[in-house]
Amino acid sequence: MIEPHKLLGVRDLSVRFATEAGPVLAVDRVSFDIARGETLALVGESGSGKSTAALSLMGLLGAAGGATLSGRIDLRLKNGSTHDINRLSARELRRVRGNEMAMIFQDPMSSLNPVYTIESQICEAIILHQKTAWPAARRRALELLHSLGIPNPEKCMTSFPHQLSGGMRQRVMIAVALSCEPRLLIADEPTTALDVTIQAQIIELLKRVQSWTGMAILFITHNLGLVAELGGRVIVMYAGRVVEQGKVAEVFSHPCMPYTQALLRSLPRLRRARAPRQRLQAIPGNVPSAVDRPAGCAFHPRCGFAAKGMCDTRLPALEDCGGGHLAACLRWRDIASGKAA
Amino acid sequence: MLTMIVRRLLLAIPTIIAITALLFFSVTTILGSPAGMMLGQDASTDAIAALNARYGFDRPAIMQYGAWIAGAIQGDFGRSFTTQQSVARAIADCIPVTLEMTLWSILLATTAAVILNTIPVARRALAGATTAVNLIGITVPNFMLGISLIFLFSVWLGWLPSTGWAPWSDGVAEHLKRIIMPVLTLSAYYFGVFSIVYRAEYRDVAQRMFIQVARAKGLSEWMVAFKHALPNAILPVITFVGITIGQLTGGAVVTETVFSMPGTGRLFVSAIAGHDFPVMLAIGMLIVTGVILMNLLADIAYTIVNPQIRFD
Ligand SMILES: Nc1ncnc2c1ncn2[C@@H]1O[C@H](COP(=O)(O)OP(=O)(O)OP(=O)(O)O)[C@@H](O)[C@H]1O
Ligand code: SF4
Ligand SMILES: [Mg+2]
Repeated sequence: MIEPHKLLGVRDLSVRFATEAGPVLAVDRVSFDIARGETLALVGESGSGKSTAALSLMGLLGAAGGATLSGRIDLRLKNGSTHDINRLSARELRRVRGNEMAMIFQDPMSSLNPVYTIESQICEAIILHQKTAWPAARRRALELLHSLGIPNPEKCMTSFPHQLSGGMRQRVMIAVALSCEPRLLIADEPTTALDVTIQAQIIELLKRVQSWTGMAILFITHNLGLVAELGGRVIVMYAGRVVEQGKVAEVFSHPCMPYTQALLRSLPRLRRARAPRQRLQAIPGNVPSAVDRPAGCAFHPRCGFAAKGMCDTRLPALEDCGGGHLAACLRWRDIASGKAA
Repeated sequence: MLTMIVRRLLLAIPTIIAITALLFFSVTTILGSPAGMMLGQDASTDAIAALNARYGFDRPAIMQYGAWIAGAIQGDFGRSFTTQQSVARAIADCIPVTLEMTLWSILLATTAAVILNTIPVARRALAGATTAVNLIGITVPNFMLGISLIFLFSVWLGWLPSTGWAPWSDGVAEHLKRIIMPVLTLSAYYFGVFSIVYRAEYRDVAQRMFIQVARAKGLSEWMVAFKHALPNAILPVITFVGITIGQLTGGAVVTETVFSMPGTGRLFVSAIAGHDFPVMLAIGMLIVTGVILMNLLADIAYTIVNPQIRFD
């Protein structure tokens, strides 16, 4: 069970896919908490398991996805009770999705159904979860569009998705997500497909929305610049595992794990180049294949500090390296004190 | 939209002329002189010449075509060589039979194909089975299915008359009794074709993000499938239905022959067998016009189902 101020408690979450190339352990014993109203950023290279973790929180990886899940995902509902997402029935899950927590996705272009108007797509969730009639749902949708800074909300309501720009569509998606006042918003790279200026607007918008509604945000991104802007806490994932976790200010000023250090070293360059779509590639070597993970610390083939006979055999556990800042590195003490070469 | 329709209709005229001309000249060159066909190989030259003069076959081919198309535009397709009946009349008598059978079959086949391939449980559980059913529908020749039905319902159970046709005026029950087996036979084929088209499109649509979004809203799998996936996956089926209705005779030939129905398909077959040149041409023209018109209708239906597609 989770502490009273916590909204979500993930314990030893593992997700395995059966693929033709063999079983893929996309998420490997991941644990973290989200407090009410908190912002938690999830960063890591492509394939590190961020989206898979997010989808399992929504219960969207069940039977249909061909995935096997283990561990607990405890969520505190609006009515105060706590449930493990992994153990809910399909019907119970549907009552949680869109209502207790909502998700926005990377590609606003294909997130809206081309066949329906914006109005019907926003009202859909409201009518489903709040059992309201169409006029009330419509009023709520208009209000949402208005507060999300959409010019001419009336016209937007009757538009079809293809008549809107990418930035507008992502605002509409945010409206869809907020429509039932969820207490957790999961945003999976919500700005990656957008222009830099629009990207900044969407981030601003999310921060504002969070200040009115007090909802927690799990923000998934490649972009460490955005993480710094959002503040709150950050989790760094590598090859399906959490490798570092803590307050953004703390992790960014004193990263303990060589992977995070390398990510951060590449940050100023990324910023100067203003390349928001650039993936994190400043680290030599490739992300290990998900089918065939290196033994020991999965980062050891790329790590400048890797020690033979240690890093390639022993799996580092998360250790507290000061004030609740956790890192999974066997040599973090040596590295911090400058003893490691 | 209106300009698009007018433009497409205007464009249809030269297309129809070109295709009928092609049909006209290829039939005359491949099959030889119509008089020779009608009178047989041992006909005397005099008899052939007389017939040629009577029907105007002695004129240059281009003029013959000109005369034919001029008549066709006014609805005069000449007289059948074999029955001497007006071709327009013969076809007009056949069209309702074929049209009714085709429309019922398409309605049945599309509804079954779309619904069965959308229901979440059915879609997954029957993934392999429907493919087998599809293949049976498409590959088992229509005449075999037709004959099996006749054997089962007419010969063995004795419930339904095996062949023939009864118009609505003979009473609803009598009419339905005669049309049910042909419709089932033809639907099996369309079901196979439509299922394959629909399933392929559905698979693509199911990968699109808005499907995941619909689930994330908390919608049930049924709602996701019927409300969000179906309208997006049904578009190619609409085109197929349009073309199928346009072809009319295409799917009906075998079915009409097996069940001895007086439709355009059977008329076409007997026209070919009897070298009945005017009937062949007229049905050819009917098919071309039908396909063009139904294509246009299907495109219009597209814009209604999917607002994203707009014609300039
Ligand atoms: N449905 C699936 N079937 C099989 N393998 C999958 C599936 N979904 C994800 N994976 C695998 O799981 C691993 C993690 O994928 P995931 O999409 O979670 O990564 P990510 O961190 O979100 O990456 P990105 O930044 O590219 O979005 C990858 O190796 C991927 O190939
Ligand atoms: S455990 Fe070893 S290989 Fe892994 S990050 Fe630490 S030093 Fe590098
Ligand atoms: Mg992802």
